[in-house]
Amino acid sequence: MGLIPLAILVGFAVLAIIFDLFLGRWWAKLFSYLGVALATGAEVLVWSHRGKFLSDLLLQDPVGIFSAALILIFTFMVFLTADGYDLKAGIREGELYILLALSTAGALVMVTTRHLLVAFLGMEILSVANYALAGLRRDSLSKEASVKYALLGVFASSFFVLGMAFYYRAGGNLYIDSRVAANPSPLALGAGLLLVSALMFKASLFPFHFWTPDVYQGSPSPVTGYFSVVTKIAAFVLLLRLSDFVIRPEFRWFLAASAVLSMIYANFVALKQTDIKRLMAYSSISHAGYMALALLLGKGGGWVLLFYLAVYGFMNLGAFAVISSMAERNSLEDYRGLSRLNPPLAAFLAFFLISLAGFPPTAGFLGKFLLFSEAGGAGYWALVVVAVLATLVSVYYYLRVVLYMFMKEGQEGGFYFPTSILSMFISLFFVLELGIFPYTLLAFLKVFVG
Amino acid sequence: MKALLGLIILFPAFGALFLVLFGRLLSKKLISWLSPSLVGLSFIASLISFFTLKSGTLLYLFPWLSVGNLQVDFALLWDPLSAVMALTVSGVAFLIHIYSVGYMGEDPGFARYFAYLNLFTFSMLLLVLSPNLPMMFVGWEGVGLCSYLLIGFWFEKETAANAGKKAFIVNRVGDFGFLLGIFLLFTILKDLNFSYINSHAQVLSPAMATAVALLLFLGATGKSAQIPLYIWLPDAMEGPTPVSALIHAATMVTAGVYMVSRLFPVYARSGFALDLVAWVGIITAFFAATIALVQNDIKKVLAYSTISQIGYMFAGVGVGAVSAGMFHLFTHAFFKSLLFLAAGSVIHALGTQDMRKMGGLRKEMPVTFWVFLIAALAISGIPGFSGFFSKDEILAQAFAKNRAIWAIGVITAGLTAFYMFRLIFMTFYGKPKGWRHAHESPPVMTVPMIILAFFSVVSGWIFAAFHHFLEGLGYVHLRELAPSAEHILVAVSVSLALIGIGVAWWVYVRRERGFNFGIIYRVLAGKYYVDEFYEVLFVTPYTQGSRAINRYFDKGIIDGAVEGSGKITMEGGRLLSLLQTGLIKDYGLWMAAGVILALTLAIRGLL
Repeated sequence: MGLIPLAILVGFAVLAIIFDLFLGRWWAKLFSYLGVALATGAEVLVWSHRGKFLSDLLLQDPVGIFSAALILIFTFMVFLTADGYDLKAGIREGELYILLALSTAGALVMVTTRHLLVAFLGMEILSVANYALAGLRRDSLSKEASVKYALLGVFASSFFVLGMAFYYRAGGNLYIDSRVAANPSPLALGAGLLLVSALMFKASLFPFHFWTPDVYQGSPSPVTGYFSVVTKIAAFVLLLRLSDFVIRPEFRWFLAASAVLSMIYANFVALKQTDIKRLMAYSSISHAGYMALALLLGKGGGWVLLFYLAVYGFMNLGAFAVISSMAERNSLEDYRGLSRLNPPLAAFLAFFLISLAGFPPTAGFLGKFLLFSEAGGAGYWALVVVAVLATLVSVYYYLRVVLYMFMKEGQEGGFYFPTSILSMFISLFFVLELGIFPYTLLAFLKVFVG
Repeated sequence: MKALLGLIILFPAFGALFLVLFGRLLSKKLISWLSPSLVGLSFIASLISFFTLKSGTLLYLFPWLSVGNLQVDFALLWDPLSAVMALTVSGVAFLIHIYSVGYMGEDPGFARYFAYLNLFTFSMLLLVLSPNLPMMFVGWEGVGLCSYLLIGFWFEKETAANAGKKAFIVNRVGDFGFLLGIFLLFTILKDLNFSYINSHAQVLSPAMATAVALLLFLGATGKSAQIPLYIWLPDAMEGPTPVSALIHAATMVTAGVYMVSRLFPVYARSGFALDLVAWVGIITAFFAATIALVQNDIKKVLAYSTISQIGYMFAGVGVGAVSAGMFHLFTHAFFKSLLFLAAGSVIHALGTQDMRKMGGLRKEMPVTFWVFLIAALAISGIPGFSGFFSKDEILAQAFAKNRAIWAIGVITAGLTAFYMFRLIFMTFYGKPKGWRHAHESPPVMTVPMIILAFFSVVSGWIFAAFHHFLEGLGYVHLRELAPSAEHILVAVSVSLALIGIGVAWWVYVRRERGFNFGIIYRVLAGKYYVDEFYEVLFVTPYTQGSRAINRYFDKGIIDGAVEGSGKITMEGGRLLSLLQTGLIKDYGLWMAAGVILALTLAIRGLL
């Protein structure tokens, strides 16, 4: 039962490959959409059959089901965003959708397993598909992104494998929920460090974030949106499952330092960016920094982490839906006067940036508010001060984009709706919904995730 | 009847939403009826609430946050403090909406303007009616956002765009303090409702109360333009004048005073924080008044005057007299918004803000002149006018608490009278300088001004009732002074005000020449060079630091188109060349270094 969402997703992806070969790309698209939609439904149905599956390797618990559903919904939104995009960029549509579906399957495995080896398999499925996705565009920047991502990804994978080896040596098995983290031996500690470092790479946390700007800039825009959201969710959920390591006293400072440096570094560097996707890359690094605060709260911070991931996903994908409809004209200069050229696009992007900057009544504000107040309540005052300061500084560069769009002259233009508008509306709805009526979701997370 | 509270905020919210969605499609005529009348309805709802609702009425709307200890609901609170604020805000906003119909009549952004103005009214009412800190913060940011949008309303002008940006950034510094204050309070008390906080203020240790109070006060200095964060308000005058009247004089900028009054028990718990509020207030009052002495832009004079008057309000609250501070907030809302509207009427007629190009307008614009004069008399504290009652109450309370604060306040009162009448004499007296035709504004603009003029006089007469009403809060008390002492204090401040007016008359009507004190004048005209100081201290390090880090780490940054195109042609898609850029090696090195550093340190800590 717990395997069904995954089976549907992979099955339809395989069908998509076959139909793409013989009958054309339209079918690939159809099957990918269907696969993700049906898998989402299946994931919801799994809720009433929570538990362990497949010789206890898979774990469909509330954290897993919630994050899997999030991942599937976000993938669906990326599909909607890619819909208008791929025609312009000369990308083979079939590949884009199939690779996205396969990568998503990897992410699902990562969030619904209780075994490190399976998690590693999931991570590799996700990563290999991602390397290919990064290089889909036919220019040098995209190729560069793909190669960089792959080469550095190998680093991360090797950390993970070595970490698994240490883990096995220290605990005698590879189950994530075995009590290896409580083991005081240096071996267990090393295992935790290596595993966590590898996941920090996927999550774009300092000092493992260096690939982020280059890869974000080079990849096709919808794919960049996908990286910034789905990959991050998978990595953070796995980090949450390993959070017993994170909160060990010898270890805690490492993540705390990483969080602080991610926030400070990213928000400093972002100011001088002239490419919006690089800017969003630094924004993504800084948000990883905020989310790392939730990891420091241990398992008890799970609910706030998942809430933040949901919020972050909607607002970031909303922004990327707009960026994607700019057809890879990514320089800030291209956004000059967008409010005249296409008012709805400019208004949408401004809204999502305001949410990313953390203004009420958007969910971006609420996410930060809950995250920081929880961290403050747990006694991480220095981190909260830095985080609030970082948020303060970040407004400066988000605002820069808004100023470009609104406060510079541009020519009057048509009033057209891009195809990714649906994705923007979904994001808009949820960013407001989660900002103003978060009660139900918070209650759900509080009860089941704790 | 509780539902009335919902109506108060619903009317302007509906207006904002409707105008944002359909503003482009509506005729100007429809907008100019719809938008003001919605705010009018909101005012009527506030009035009915005032007469029918009991203090402490809470309209529960829906649960907002409930996680563990934190329980925050969306609700609206009606008590003396919020009643005063809601009536003032909706009333003044209503009049300014009407005035704006005339003032903005020719502007192509008519619909957008009224959408923002309605949104502002909604956010401000949300701020004052909120029963807990997080909701207040939502309103706080909402009014801020509207304020930036309206400052930068004419964003084609670079100065306007920059002024909007400046307001935004400076206020973020304030928000930093405000947010940390909320977090800290939550950590200690585990509850963020005002009623709970105020009834449990005694639980806080004085040190904790001080920390909370100071952090929140940082937020107040940002929003209410006090030292050290006042620098955005003078620039904010780039916005349309009715906006300056509503947001940057009567309502939003007083939100800080409201917040301190709202959480007064926390401030009172920490004696130090309360003293600091009083001192920051009175020093700001003096400091801003000195800058106002030498400004030649009619709106800049009023902007510094606003900063100065808000300083008085903080001083009032800071010496422990909440109702005196709030009363000055109340009267100030009328006479200061009137001053701005009258100045707007002059600007509307002449097309300039430079007072050196005005002069002699008394005959051409009689209504504007008379209402201006009434407002100026009110702000100068001439007996019988509203400002007299509120300002003298603050000064009397200061006298009872701390003579030094009183002394600075009374000198500032003299300065206030001087710069205000300097403005009047330069604008309305003497010979016309550089203008040919001027005309009185249409009734849609003059009628709101006349109504405000009426309140600028009479609103001061209700002090006893006002104070009694606020006593319902439970923590509002005034010190009693001997009648003889009170008479002497009044005599001193009134005679200083009269001297100020007299000197202004002597300098600007009799001699008809400005004055120039050399270095002092230059320092004042340069606004003490605080902007430049902040630039060097904060802005430059951030931009330079960003550039430096980028140069070292982010080698992918393309600093100009030439380099970019060169890069693409040179690399030409050759994959192998990428390996030779050294970037990957660098990145890998960083990752490995990170892990190794962590490993060694962690294991050393373990052994």
